[in-house]
Amino acid sequence: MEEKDENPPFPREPWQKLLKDANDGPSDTTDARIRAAARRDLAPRGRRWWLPASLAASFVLAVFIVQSQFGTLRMPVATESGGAGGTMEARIIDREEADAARPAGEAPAARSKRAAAPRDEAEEDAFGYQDSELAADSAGSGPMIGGPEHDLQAATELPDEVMASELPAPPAAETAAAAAAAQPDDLPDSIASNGERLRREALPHSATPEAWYAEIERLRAAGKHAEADRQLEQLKIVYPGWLEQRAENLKKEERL
Amino acid sequence: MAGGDADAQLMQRYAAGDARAFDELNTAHRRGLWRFIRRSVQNAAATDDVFQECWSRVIAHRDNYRPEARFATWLYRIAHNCCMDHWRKSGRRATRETADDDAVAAAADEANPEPLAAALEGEAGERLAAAIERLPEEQRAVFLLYVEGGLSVTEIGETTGVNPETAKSRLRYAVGRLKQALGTDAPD
Repeated sequence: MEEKDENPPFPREPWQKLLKDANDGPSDTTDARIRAAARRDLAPRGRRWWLPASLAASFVLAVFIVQSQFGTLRMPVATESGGAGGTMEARIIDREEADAARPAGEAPAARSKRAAAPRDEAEEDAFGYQDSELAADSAGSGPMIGGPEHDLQAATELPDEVMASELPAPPAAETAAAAAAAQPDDLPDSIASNGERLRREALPHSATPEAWYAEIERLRAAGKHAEADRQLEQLKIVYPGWLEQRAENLKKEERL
Repeated sequence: MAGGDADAQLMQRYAAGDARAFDELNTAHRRGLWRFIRRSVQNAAATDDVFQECWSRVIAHRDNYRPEARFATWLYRIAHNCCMDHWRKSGRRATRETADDDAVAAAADEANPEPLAAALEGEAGERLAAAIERLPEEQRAVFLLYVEGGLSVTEIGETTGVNPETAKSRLRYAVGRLKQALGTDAPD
């Protein structure tokens, strides 16, 4: 050590000799730890960009995930709920109310074509009512629960892929008319998605299981057994348990 | 003041990003600093912690280092502060600052009834180490800063926060007591 005192009180070297011990000192581990800390602290601060960058990336990713999840969850909300203040207000609308609520001049184009057959009329009523309500829902009107809407909800709970591959394909004319009636020009894109379109196309048959089953019976009577069987399988998927329930009801009626 | 201080230049090089300069500093001061801390805290387990804390502060404050004083003065001031912090944390009350070193020495003797008997056993180095442990804290700090740290009386005064005369007085008392403990083995 460098001595700077002009007049040191006493020489320190003899005392240093007495105090020195060859084994007296820090361990190699301690030295290595200190030197590693010295090097770590010298790391250029420019390399520390990854910390704020990773935080920002995590935040953006979290926002993206939340938005995508929120968008998915909003699909049923757009078709089943609404109303002032966002409260879930359920109301049951029967066919008469739907007919009464519909302006006379605004009947869907497909409606006049189906008016000849009573069975088809029931389907068309339900179909037409749902379409108009769907359009109204997208504009923020009250929710619809029960009746044809309930059937629609059951249909919407199926994955889009199932809907696309397994739901019965309606006749082309009906499909076109239904699509024209169901999809107003101002319908938001989120509503008019592919899955929604498929669900609407399925409505003529899936509106009520009874109507669908009657259609299957008609196909079977016409000798189209393969088509009838295919639609029967699809009916089982869309309305699970309905056929069994119907069979039980028939048995009960027979007993009576 | 310390323009020619090689350690100060090493410290400046380290502050500029030269890790090897730190290695040289560490190599030059590790043993002396270790002995100073070990004899100051008198606790083998705590010595390692205080030693690492001392170097950590050197690393952390490298940008604040100014070569206005010798590097050793700066280093041992940090070490002295680390020891003081250790005493505070461990609940050990440092001896109060006083100019009456006779009273401090007498109090230390009362706390260690047979200091000389213990110090007289073993080799001279061991007896000296035992005698240092029995010194009052202020005298021990001054003696160790002088012998192990190589600090001048003025630098010791700056490091411990007393004027040079007080530091010189404490040093004189400490050496007197150590010579008494070592007897004929004491350096002249």
